[in-house]
Amino acid sequence: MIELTGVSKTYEKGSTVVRALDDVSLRIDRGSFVAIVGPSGSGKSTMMNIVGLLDRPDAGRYDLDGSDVGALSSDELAEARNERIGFVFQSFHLLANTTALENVELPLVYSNRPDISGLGLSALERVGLEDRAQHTPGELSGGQQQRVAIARALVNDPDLILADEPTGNLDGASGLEILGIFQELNRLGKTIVLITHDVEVAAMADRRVNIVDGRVVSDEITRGD
Amino acid sequence: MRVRRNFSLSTKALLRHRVRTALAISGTGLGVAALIVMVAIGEGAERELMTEVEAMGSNLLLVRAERAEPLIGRSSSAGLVNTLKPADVEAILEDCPAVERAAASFDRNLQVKYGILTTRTSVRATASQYELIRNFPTRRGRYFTPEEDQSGQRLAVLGSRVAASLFQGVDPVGQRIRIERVPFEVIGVLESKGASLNAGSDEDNQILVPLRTGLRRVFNVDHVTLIYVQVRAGEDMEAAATQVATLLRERHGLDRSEPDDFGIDNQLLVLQAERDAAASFQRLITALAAVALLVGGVGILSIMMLSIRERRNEIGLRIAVGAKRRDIRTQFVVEALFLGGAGGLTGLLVGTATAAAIRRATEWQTAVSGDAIALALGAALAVSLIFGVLPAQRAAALDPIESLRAE
Ligand SMILES: Nc1ncnc2c1ncn2[C@@H]1O[C@H](COP(=O)(O)OP(=O)(O)OP(=O)(O)O)[C@@H](O)[C@H]1O
Ligand SMILES: [Mg+2]
Repeated sequence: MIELTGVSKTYEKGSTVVRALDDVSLRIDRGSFVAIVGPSGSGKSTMMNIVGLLDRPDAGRYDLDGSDVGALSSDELAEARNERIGFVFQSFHLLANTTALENVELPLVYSNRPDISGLGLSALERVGLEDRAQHTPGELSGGQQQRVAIARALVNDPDLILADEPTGNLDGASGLEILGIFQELNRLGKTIVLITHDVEVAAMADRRVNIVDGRVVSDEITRGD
Repeated sequence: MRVRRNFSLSTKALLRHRVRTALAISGTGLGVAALIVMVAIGEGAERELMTEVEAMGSNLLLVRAERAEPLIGRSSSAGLVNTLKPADVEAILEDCPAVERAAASFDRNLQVKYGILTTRTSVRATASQYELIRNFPTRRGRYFTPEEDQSGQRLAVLGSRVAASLFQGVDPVGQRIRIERVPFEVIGVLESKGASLNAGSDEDNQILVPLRTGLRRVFNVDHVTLIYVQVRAGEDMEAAATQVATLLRERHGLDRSEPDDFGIDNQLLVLQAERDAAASFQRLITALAAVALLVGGVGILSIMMLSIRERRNEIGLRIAVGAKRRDIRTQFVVEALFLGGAGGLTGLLVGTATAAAIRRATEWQTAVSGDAIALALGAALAVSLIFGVLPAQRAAALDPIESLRAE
């Protein structure tokens, strides 16, 4: 479903040119669980922003579900993000002083769906936090906050979940809990793309893509089932 | 659906930042309150002036007796000068074609008695024409006629306040009063004009008596202090004043080198000057209010800018989860309008209360009109829209990746 062909992205900072992504070609099938690993500054987040339709490549082509997203307007990209992609960030990005439920419902504000009642609460149920619906982020632990963020990513029932270091700010136990949720979601058919530094975390995925200096240097199946 | 979801979101965002929201609201609120108060003062002054014009009669010349005095701007007090005679009035009526009516007047504060009740009030000897010239009809009874004046009848027409204080419920018409021991029959009671703005000249607190009777029997003088001159409709006030002045100088035997021994006030000019002053005052205060509103607008602008800078994360997140540029812009424009509207309402309440307080505490008859309210609220919304669009554009143009990275 995700197909990058010769994708490049360069940043110019003064006189230095950084090739954040350098001619990357990658195919990720529907329903797979892929870990993207690589050293800091290797271009992982850059790739996730492109895959997540937050950024456009300078060169190359990106097909999502068989159609070229380069042809989409920025409004169409926004709609595609809203309907087809869920984001999970390292630092959660929950709105402060706003209840868990309202945070989860944020994507619905921009949804064209006619009936959105109950979706927020059922997304919270999927991460086991329905009893914390009225709590604000300040009243939740780090692990719980990240679970709220996952519920937010799920609320519009997208096929693709993109997570950039989702366990980076969590202790080991909470991290494992979050990874358990991803595995469960993957089992239910979601495509998961997970960026991580952590070898152990990467081991939970079916496939590991290693990026160095903006290039894919290895791509291996870690679990065959 | 989307609009409603977006709106509830905006209000929630504002409620989350209470102090900042309160600041922005009070900024515009102050501007609107200032606008309301200032327009209320201006409008009150305008209304006052209109009532004054109506009370005075707009085509009125006031000829005052004045001692021929070389000192500039000094007119001697009434009663001490005897330059105006009743015969001057007849001459004006005869020889000044621009004049419609004229009435002489002499007045002084005297003791008046009804039964055992005594009061001091202004007694004015004047002609029956006074009614038409001053637009001052009777509420009960009637004025004296020119014939009654000629034959020296002792008749009196009471101002409404004198009637109330002296008669206390009894119908005064037909009753006898004594003015400085001279008996008079009350034949009419004037309509109430309400408290006059010219301090010290309460026209409801006077008694009118026929000119000849008054001069001979009460005041014992042969001159008058004032001549009211009503100019014919369509005639130029200045030209009429010149006719009257020329005639009086001739009659008083003044040669070229001598100054006038009378003064002529053109009521219309006086009122117009007052009105112009009020209008320019109103322009000034409206400009001040505009500045206040502008300051309120800049307040909204800077607070929105600050808010957007602080909420970059939130904006980036919203874009990531599917907000379009226009959704972000709408959200912040709505927030600005909400601030402006709340400021407008707050200002309206504060301004109206202040205007009422000013009315109680001072002699300014402040008036808050529907127009003023619409203007103030409209101005608040317009200002918030104008100053809200720029920050909203800024917010909508933010790069989501950078915004999400910002801490
Ligand atoms: N907006 C930008 N302007 C300039 N250079 C940038 C920008 N964004 C990223 N880069 C550069 O592109 C390269 C790849 O950055 P990227 O964020 O994708 O790395 P990463 O693999 O996610 O690193 P980390 O593991 O530290 O998050 C880095 O060298 C970075 O400095
Ligand atoms: Mg990164």
